[in-house]
Amino acid sequence: MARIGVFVCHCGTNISATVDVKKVAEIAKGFPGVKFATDYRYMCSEPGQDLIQKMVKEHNLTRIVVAACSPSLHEKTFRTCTQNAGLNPYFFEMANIREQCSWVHDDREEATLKAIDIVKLATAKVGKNNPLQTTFIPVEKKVLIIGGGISGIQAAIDVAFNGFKAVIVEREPSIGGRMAMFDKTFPTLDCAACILTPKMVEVNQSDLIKLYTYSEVEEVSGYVGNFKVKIRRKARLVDENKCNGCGTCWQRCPVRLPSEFDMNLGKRKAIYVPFPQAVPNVPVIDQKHCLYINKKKCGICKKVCPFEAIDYEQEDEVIEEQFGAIIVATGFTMFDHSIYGEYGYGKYKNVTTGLHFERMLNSSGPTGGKIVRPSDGKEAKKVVFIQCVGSRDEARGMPYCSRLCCMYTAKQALLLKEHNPEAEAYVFYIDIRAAGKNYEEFVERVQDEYGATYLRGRVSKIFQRNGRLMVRGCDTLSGTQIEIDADLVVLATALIARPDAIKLAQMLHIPYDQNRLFTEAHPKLAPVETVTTGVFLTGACQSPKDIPDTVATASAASVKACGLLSHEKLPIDPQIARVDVEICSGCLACKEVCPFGAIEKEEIVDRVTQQKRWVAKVAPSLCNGCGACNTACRPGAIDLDGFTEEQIFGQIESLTADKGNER
Amino acid sequence: MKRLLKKEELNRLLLGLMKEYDVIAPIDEEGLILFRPVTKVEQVLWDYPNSLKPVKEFFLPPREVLFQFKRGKVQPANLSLKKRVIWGVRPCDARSLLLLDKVFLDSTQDVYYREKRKSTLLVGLSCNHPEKSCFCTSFASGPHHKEGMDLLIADLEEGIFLLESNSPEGEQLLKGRGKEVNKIDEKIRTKIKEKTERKIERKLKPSQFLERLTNGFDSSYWEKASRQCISCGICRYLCPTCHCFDIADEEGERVRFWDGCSFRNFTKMTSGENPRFGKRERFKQWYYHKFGYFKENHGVFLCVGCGRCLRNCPVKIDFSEVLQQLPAQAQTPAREG
Amino acid sequence: MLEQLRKKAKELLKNKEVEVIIGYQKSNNNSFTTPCFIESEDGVDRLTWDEHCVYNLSLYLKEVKGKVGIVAKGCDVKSIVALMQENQIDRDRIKIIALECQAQVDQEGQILEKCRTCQVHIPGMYDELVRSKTSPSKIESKESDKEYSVLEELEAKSTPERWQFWQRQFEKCIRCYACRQVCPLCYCSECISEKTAPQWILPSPSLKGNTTWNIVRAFHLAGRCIDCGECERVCPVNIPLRRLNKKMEKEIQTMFNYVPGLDSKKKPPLVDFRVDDPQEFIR
Repeated sequence: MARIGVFVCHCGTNISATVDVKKVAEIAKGFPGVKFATDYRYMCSEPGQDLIQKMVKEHNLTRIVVAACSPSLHEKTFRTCTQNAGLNPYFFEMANIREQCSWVHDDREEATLKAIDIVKLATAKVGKNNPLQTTFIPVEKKVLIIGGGISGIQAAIDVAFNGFKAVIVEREPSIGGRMAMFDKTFPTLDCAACILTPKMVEVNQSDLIKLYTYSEVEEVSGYVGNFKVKIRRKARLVDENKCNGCGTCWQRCPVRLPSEFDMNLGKRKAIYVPFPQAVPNVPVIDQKHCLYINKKKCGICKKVCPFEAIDYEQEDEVIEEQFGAIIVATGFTMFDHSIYGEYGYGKYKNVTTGLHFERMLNSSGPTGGKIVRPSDGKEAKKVVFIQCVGSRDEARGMPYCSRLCCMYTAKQALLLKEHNPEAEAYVFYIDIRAAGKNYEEFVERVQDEYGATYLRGRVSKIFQRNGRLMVRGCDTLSGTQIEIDADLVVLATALIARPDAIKLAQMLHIPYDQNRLFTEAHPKLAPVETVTTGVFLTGACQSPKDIPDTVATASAASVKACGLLSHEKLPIDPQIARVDVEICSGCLACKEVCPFGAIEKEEIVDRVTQQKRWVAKVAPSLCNGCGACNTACRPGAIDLDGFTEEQIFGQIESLTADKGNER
Repeated sequence: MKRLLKKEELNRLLLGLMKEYDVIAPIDEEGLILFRPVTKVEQVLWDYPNSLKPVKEFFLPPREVLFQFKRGKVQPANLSLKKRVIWGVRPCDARSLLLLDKVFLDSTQDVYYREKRKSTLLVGLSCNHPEKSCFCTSFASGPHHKEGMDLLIADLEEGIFLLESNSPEGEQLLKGRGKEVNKIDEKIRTKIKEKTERKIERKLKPSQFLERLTNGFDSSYWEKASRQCISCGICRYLCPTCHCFDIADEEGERVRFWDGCSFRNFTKMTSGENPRFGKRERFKQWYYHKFGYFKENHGVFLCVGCGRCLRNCPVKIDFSEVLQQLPAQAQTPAREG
Repeated sequence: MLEQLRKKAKELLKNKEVEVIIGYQKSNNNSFTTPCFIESEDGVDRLTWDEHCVYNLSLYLKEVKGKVGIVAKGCDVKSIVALMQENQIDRDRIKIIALECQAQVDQEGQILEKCRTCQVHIPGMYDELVRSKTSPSKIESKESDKEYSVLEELEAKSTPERWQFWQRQFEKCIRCYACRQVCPLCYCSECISEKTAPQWILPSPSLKGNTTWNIVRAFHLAGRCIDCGECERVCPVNIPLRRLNKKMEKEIQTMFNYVPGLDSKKKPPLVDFRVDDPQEFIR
């Protein structure tokens, strides 16, 4: 029979002002199994904890109940204390009489009665607690980074700096991501390539970082410390080991295609590297358009390659590797503005987006740094920038603010003026959001020093008149409707989640929100963690972020990942689901409802019939102890350690037994 | 004592009993023929095959409180019972009580059973329309047997009933009622009796059972015979002689309630071991108990041939055939389960 | 039909495609049928097929090992689908000899309630199909659009009235567990009713325990019951169990647009977890 000790905390006056703690302790003495009960000013203080240990010895207590604050604050403290008193740390229960009682009630009498019930529940439960042991799992000391943009690059560099191995899986033929497309970065106007390429090179040269470009994650199984990941390495048709990036092949390739990297403003070949600084500097053959692949003609690249690196027969390869942690850095994509009739449904060539404009600004871009009208290639002098395209539009776009459009629009307006001081920049905005170091100053500068015209209001229509693009909008500050005949319109389109984000989330068992953005474990206290232990988030896959924020989260995520990897083995909370295989009938309803993929099927030999059958098996390291499987299990073969059916029943009975008889 | 009563006189007898006793008789309860306490003569069924549930439920109730307890204090069950009459019991069911007596009264007396038995009079009703599933004549009984009854009512048809006492209490009930029974009445009765017995076509040869069962314990026959069985409790619960029970504590009450060897958990032990886990073993046990062990221990078979198991089996297993087809010689042993 | 059935059964046994065939044979107990297990070619003549083949033989599939053939009606096939969904049987070892079924009758010769609204006269999944030669006259007269009409009377009652109705029904329960035992989907190796620590359901036949038992069973079958109606057929005390299960079926269909037993690839809604579930709390 358990010998229970109950310790009721005053929490200064936090509890004792509303709850008669002395009475609670006094009444608790009468609960079944309670051998000792007392109250104390601060149970979490050192003397408070000493008191517990002393009383355990004095009264030979075997179970501890502390009635105090929320377990999320001090459960750990008292578990350790219980352990130090020579008991199993799980022979402890916390009765929350602060957050769930004293803080939310005024009536002292009623609150005291409720506190008594809460303590009663805890004593009924603790009496049925089982001793639980923390178990450990080994850790694979390697981090998978999904996505090779600035976010993934920074994370890989940081992981390597900590002395651990990292693998970047990038879908495109080169790492670099969106940042590689930018011209200059706000608010310092550093050249994006100048600050990015050294990092790309560092990644390429590091012994600890492996790159899988033109590759995709196909399947993730396992759990923290031991993720098993299948990676599809798509056929480049170019042998990465032989190629040295001399460029002979793409110079000679006869097929000319719009370049995705240049937002279709420039051309590339059917064998190509997306941009000159690509890492790895190895081309890829566009199988859709290659003449040899489609018509068995041409074959020039193979002929001219001095290193015999072209291999038309190459096939996709699926490799499997193990990782201790995963960092998700898949970034974002741009909102498609063609749904907006007022902006011409994407019909007008001269209505472009911020990314198009970035490419035009870039001196090594398709226009050589000239701002032109895509329709005729003539210089654009009058440019209208429209902000919040798809952002802050619950009805047709995304409900959120994309956070960086205000800044990059300001930057682009500034750069426009730098490129051509004669040019005119008009910016339609709803609000200017420039909360960042030197951001507000930057926007001010664009208006005051560079003379960009900021108009607070929405554009109601873009249309063509006499071959000119007309932008009709209103300036709500002056209350006038205005029409601007623009050479070029630049839309600051929203940053949105990638369309296949859901697939990845399901693979990784991480939640996402209504906008398909991955959800962090806690918005404030665990901003780069996810609910799946060992999977971390960085960059814009979580929410739109500018480069400084992206880099910061990348470093944060890598610290978290390296923290995990710095352990030889990881402890697992023993409060997890447990399957009684004798009862389990193998329907695997539990497997279907498990949000963490923690249940798999296992073949066993039945003890009685000696025949093979399937049963459910819990992977301890994946189980978060949520209890979803418990409720799905019809025969009750699954129990949750720390919250067993017996414990819960004990609690219910303790509350209802007497009351039931009164009726 | 034998007396001849007309229907009205019989009704008066029943009415009289209702004043003095709690009367339990067969009624139609939403399509089910059940023995239930009755207060009106009109409720009582006269012409019915047999009740769904046997009358054992009034001696070994489906659920019986043995005692109550609360916080260490025990409150024994109240065993005193008003005198009662069970009216309209069929001969097979009346005989089943004699078999149950062997279990509950012979050596160690079960007070719960004994008190109920002591305070109950049985007024039987002979059986003129047996069912296809009946086979009472194979088990030392018959449609007009008065064994175990205090009084037997034989329906001579056309509103005339021959009543025959089988105990001093029964005789007491008959005293001064109806008229003398003459030879013609006896003849009519014998004729009806024989006619009814002829209707019972199902004939078993119980004399061979014991030997066959002894030889056939490991026979692969049981594997095949039990295949259709779905392991429900219908045959066990509706059997007038099955008397296995379980005991549990339910909310301050220690209760005993029907249990049956067809259930998986019937023989499950605390350790998890279960000697009769397999369907074959559980199916077989019923026959070994009724026609093997009970015969060895008490000298009679634990079956009265009421046919309820046949009638109510969800998959129409012919239990009498299972026994009849049991091979006379030992067969290849099946795997031990 | 019978000839064809026997022919197909014979072929399966002859070609060693199955080791045993579960089917129906005439019962010598009465004019009805009883389940049978045929292991040799010369045994196939025992097979029978008429309107007394009420049993859902899929019940036996789990306990019969090896390659097995099963004679199945449309409703029975639905439970095979459900058993596949729940990992209980391996489709590869089962040959379904499906029978076009017009209707089955009860002991009094009345067409079964479930057959009146049947929508699977021709089974939805099979290896062999035996079609009926007679005109589907009975089928045409069916009221397949009145699937849930059987619930109308109860649904019209007030909650207390309905509770009273069921209390009266559950009072009769003798806890013989025939409903559970005959149910192909009640395959748990240990039923929740047998669990003693903690004891979810009082084991003795009291109103309280009976109520818990019958309601828990209905809940455990919610979204799974394929309406073979066997539980109601075998209940010795005539508890209208099909109404309970049918009600759950209706709710599930209304809420999730899901009918059990039709598609083995679909996940039953109550044992599904989707990250894109519209309800916030589940994520």
